[in-house]
Amino acid sequence: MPATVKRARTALVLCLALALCGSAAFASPRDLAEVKSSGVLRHLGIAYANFITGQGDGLDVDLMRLFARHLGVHYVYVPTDWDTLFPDLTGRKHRTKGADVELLGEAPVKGDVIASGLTVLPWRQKLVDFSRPTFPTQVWLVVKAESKVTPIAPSGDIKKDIDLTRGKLRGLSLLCKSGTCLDPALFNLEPTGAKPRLFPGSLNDLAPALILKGETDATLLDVPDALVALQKYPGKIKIIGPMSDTQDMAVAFAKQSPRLREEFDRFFAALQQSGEYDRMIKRYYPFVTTYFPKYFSK
Amino acid sequence: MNATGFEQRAATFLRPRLLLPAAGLLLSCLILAMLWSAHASSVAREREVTLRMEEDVRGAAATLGYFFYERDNDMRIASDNRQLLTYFENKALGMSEEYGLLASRLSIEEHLAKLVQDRRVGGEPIYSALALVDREGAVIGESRAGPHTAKESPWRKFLPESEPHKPLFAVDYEAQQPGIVLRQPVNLGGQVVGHILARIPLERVLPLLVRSPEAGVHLYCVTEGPRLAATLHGVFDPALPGRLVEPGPGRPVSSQRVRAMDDGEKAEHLAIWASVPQTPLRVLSLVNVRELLGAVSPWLITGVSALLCAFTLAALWLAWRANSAQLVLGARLEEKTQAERTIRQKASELEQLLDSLPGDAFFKDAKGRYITGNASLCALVGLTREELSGKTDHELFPAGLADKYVADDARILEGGLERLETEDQVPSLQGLRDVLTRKVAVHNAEGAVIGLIGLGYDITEKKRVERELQAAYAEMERRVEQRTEQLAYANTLLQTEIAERKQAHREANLVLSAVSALLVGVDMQGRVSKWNQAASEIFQLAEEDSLGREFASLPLPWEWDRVLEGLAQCSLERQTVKINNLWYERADGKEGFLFVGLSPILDEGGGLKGVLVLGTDITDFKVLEAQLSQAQKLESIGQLAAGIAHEINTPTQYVGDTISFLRDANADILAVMDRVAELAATPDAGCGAEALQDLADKLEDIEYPFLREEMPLSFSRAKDGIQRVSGIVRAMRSFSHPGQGEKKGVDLNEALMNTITVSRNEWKYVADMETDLDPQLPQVICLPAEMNQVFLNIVVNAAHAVEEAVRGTARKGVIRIATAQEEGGVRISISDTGAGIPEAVRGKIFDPFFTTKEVGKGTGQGLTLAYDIVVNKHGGSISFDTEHGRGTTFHIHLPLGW
Repeated sequence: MPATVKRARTALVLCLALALCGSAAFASPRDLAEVKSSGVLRHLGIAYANFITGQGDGLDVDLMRLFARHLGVHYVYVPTDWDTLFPDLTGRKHRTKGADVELLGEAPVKGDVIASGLTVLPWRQKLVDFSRPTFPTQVWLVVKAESKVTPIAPSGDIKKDIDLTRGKLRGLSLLCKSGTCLDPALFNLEPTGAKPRLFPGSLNDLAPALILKGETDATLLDVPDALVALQKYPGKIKIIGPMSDTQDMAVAFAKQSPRLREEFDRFFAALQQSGEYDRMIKRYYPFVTTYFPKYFSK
Repeated sequence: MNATGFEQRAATFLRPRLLLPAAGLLLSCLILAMLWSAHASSVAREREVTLRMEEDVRGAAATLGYFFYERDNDMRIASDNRQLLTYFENKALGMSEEYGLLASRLSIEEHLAKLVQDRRVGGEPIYSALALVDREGAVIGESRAGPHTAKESPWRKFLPESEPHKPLFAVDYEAQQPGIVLRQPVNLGGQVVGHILARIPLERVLPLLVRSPEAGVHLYCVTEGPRLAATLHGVFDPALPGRLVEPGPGRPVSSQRVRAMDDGEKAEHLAIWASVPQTPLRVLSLVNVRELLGAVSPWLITGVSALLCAFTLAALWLAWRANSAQLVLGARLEEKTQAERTIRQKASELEQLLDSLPGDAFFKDAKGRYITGNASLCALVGLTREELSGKTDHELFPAGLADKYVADDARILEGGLERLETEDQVPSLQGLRDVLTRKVAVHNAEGAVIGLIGLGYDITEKKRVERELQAAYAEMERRVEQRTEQLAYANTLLQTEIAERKQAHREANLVLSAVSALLVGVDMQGRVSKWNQAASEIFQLAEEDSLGREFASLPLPWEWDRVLEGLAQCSLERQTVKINNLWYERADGKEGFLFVGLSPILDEGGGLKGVLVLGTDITDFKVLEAQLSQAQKLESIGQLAAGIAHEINTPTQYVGDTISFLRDANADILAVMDRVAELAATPDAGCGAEALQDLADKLEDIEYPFLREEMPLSFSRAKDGIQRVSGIVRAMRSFSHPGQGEKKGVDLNEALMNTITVSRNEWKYVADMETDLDPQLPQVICLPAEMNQVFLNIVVNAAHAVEEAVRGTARKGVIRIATAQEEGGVRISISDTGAGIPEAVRGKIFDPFFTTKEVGKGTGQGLTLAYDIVVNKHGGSISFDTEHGRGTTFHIHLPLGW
């Protein structure tokens, strides 16, 4: 191996090690000045749809890399999981009760920002501060192609469409994922007669669980994931209708990091204005602009 | 040839009566043959040009046929595309545009657009548009425009009214630019659910496929039956295709002469056309005949050529007649001169040949005499070529050698051998030479031997080299044998070493597996390269789940920040980094602590290869340490107990005395007050002088003025006493509190005052306590119980040192405690005027179990614990200044810890 390559690799490893060790366990979340002085932006994420592909790229990975470059610091991806996602950012463990959140003990702070196709939800807003919306979404009800449940006929009114979709749930076993935008507590499922089941795997495995394993009658999927599933499993699934109104995805910051969030909002506005963000969207979600024309025309 | 024969043949040839008619006939035939040949070649050329043109046209038709075959493939592949089928499947499932179907439609448009972009010829897109339409004609997806309704669809006219499963190949003449429209059905479950349609702009794409071999001469177009579909090169009369005669069946190429416009005037053209396979199209080529074959007829050229030839023949015949006799004479002279020149030349060539031969060449006659020899032989025998001629071997060589040569020659010359090769040693000016001589017999036309040719090579050098080579070969064989033996021996050693290394590697792995400490190797890419059994057990993570993964991404429940900081420090400094008390979560969910050492793995050149992480579970040790710490504290308290009891006893005693006094005083005053109450209860008796005197006497009895002055002071003393007791108790409680094991902000001045209080009985008899505490001292983040222990140990040590110094004297020493802020933290100084620390033991005072005190007075743990608490647990420092006979000062530096 050439000496220069070796030195570069050594430097990279050291850089990563130094970057990661900058986050003291049980320390407070860092704001803009601390991120800049540490020289590293730590991106917390979970491999999910085309936001974080797990192959070193994805819409949110690219976005955070550009943000780190904007700040003049190195970028470090810190993988986490849905159970530890918010504690890794805020330094506090928590327990959700519907839309309420109960704070528990301390946890090590491992990252400065969450960007992982994260839907803005009321209980999450109690834990963290969100940036301006970066991506639109919605939760859809999805069944296997051979299911007897038929898709709704869109009425033009999203509320009516949701009611029509909920009306199809009676007696269906329904895969949900706690702690995410597919948490059953967010959908008031009891009156629908659906039988919710908490899925222990990752969000990316919901569609395969429905199609390949036949574990359930139906599953909830958010739009980005459903679009990926439609491409990945053509003719195997069908969309019944919406389970939620249009929602926003955004980047999450600890409440102790207001300046970092403000800086991101400024950076993101400039990125949108330059047209670069549209190109990134086109690369990872080529159809989403047509699906949410109002959102992207804003 | 001799002169007689030549003259005879010349006379015969020149005989006029026979020669002239024959020559005339021969020349006439020759000219006729030449003329016919010229004409035939002209006609053949015309046929060849026509055939070549036909080949070009057939090639163009085949190219177009292959092109449309490929397009047919495009259509079939596109119609079988998964995304297209998915759309129809999703639609059949009832999905709506708003919820899912739109994605399918958009992906189809993207697919079609990509197809248009990908299919190119000569850099130009082949298709101007591609579309998917449903059975009703509504456009679902199109490569260049949004969806259309069935009514407004531009593709509608190409949709089938019947037989929807059949593909379509049609020319669209109505479009702005003529184009080919292709249609392919899309089948799902055996039913036609839609069609893929494509448009190919003819005049933009086809010229890129069919190139004119001669631009401006060969014109090309594509026709569909009698209609001109598209012009590829040049300008065509639209009516021309209709004038062509329909060729017979089975003819791939047809041609016909037609009159067509060229440069404003009608001219004869050759039209050639061929069908494009699998399509209704034909390729038609048109070329002006004059430009193809030239303006002059081959017949005219042939006639003019014949006339010219006849004139030429006549002139040649006359000239030949005039000069024939002179030519005969000239020919004879020339022949003779030529023969002589040839003989001289041959002789010269022979000499040159002999000279050019490598070695000694010679030519001998039938009697063995030298006829000639080359320059090398002449030089060898020391004669010129002329002198050599006629000599024998006996005149040139020593007798013995000459005899051998003569005998060798005789074997050839007498017809016994055809050739002979001998090796001899021949004397020369340079000494004896090894000569290889080859001799070959020379025969005349009748086969008799008339002499021999010989060639001698000097092989002296060759012989020497052969001898040296033989010696070298023998030496090489000897060395190869020797080297083979050495290699065999080295191989044996190598095999032994490999076996030993493998054994050592196995043993090393067994040792690593047996190590009870956690052992993890991290390579330069930050990945785990080693993971022993203890690591698997401590973290409940199997070796196969950890090896090769990025170390920092492993789900290890420990203080990652300290580990990674240590890793970075170890990598940068290339020194072992120790991390003490590293928290981790044990497999049973309880807290645990590790002592971790991070050591750099260096290669032979000192290059960093990775880091070795070695961790030992010190949880049990920590528990013991905590117990020891508490025990030490209790020991201190036990030692102090008597003094503290005394400290409490003194104020308690005088509080008790004061209360006794107050009780007695209270009884006296109550007796007086009873008398007052009695007088007050009998007002009729009046308050006369007697009663007043009685009261005055009673007041005197009870020493009222004394009581009046002393009682308030007694209350005050009692209160002071109680406060002192409660202060001591509070200090004790604060001092001996076991703490929560967590650091928190502590007022060190207050902690020091508590220490002074609880240790008062230790020093008050031997020393005065002086304090110089900085009132602005900030709070310090520390373990309060541990720091109290440090202060107490040093103060008690100071008291003992002073006691030793003042023992047997009436004087008291001084203990002085000072606090101050300094850069990065605070400084606590505790001085005594004791005997100082002897020089011999100054390096040992922080060692465990080292003490200079008498037996039973010290355990040797006090300063060791102090050092551990200040340095290891707080990152501070502890040092001392001492002077024999004058005292010691301990300096403690603590970082603020915020």
